[in-house]
Amino acid sequence: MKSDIIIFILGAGIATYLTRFPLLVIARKKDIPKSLLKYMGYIAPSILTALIAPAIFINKGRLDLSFSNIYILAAIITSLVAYFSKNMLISVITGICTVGLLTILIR
Amino acid sequence: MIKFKEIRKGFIDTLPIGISVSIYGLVYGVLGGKAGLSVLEVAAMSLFVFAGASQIAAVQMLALGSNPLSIIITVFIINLRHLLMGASLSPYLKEASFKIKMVSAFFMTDESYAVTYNHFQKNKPSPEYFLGSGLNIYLLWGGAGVLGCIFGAALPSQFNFIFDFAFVAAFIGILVPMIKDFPVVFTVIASGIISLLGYTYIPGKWYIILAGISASFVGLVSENLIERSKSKSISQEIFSNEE
Repeated sequence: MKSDIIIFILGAGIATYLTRFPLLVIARKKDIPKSLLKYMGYIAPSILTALIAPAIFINKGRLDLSFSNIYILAAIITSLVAYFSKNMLISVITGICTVGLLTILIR
Repeated sequence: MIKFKEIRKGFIDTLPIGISVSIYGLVYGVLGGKAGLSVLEVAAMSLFVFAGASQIAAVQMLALGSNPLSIIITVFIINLRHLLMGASLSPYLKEASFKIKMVSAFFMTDESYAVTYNHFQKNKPSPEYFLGSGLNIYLLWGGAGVLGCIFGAALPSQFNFIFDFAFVAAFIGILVPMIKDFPVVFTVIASGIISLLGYTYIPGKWYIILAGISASFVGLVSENLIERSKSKSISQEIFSNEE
């Protein structure tokens, strides 16, 4: 194993454990500010979006909103499937099949 | 005294959701392998970090060449929601020993939390049940990751370009079911715009953390604004009824 991966895994493991035990062990819910609780509820969708938006809309280092960017259409189709199926595996399979098909069609 | 019966009950009750977790784990394993991680590394991440969405995020960031510190911070931020789940379970586990709480906390996931919280509504709470539920997810998630990694390696490499999009599709599959109301919609839009700007103008991968932290504020503020306008319209209704 590469040393930076070992550092990363140990660091991420400790960081994650630090999110798991503190409030389970000590605090009661009323001790936490209400707005902080609300704020934390938005973090997951926010981070997930930040991870995928550039992957979809940036093509070869530049913003690409044109039809030739097949990731946009594939993302829309995948979102619809995710919305109706609520199933991650089906979403993934739909997504990669769409990209595969579109790539073949455009070629 | 550890109640093994409760551990077993928690474990068994979690099997249905555990099976869907293992499907998700397969996806993680395939993506990890395609990102260049070995089976051992894929397994080690599941054993020590043990947090689904953040592991997939980490794999993607490793593939992008992010530095370990920024990945650790991202993982930490994604997992901050565990604080909420811990806070919501703590009143049920007031009687439990510190030791078993510290152990069972390590195995807490979205899924074991949901199963346990549901069980505690109608049954006597026990930390062992919570632990058993967590152990189920731990085994299935870890095992599925390894299988996915091995299976992914067997796929021909000309399919690799497709896996660039598999990350995106996996996250869409997690994200879309989270979008339940307008504040989340605003959060997603804000995060999309901020991350695209950040990607273009900020060096490195810090745009992920920046967008994550600032777009969550948009969610909080819009939730407060919507609540305020609702309570205003209710008070107006009462007022007009009085007239």
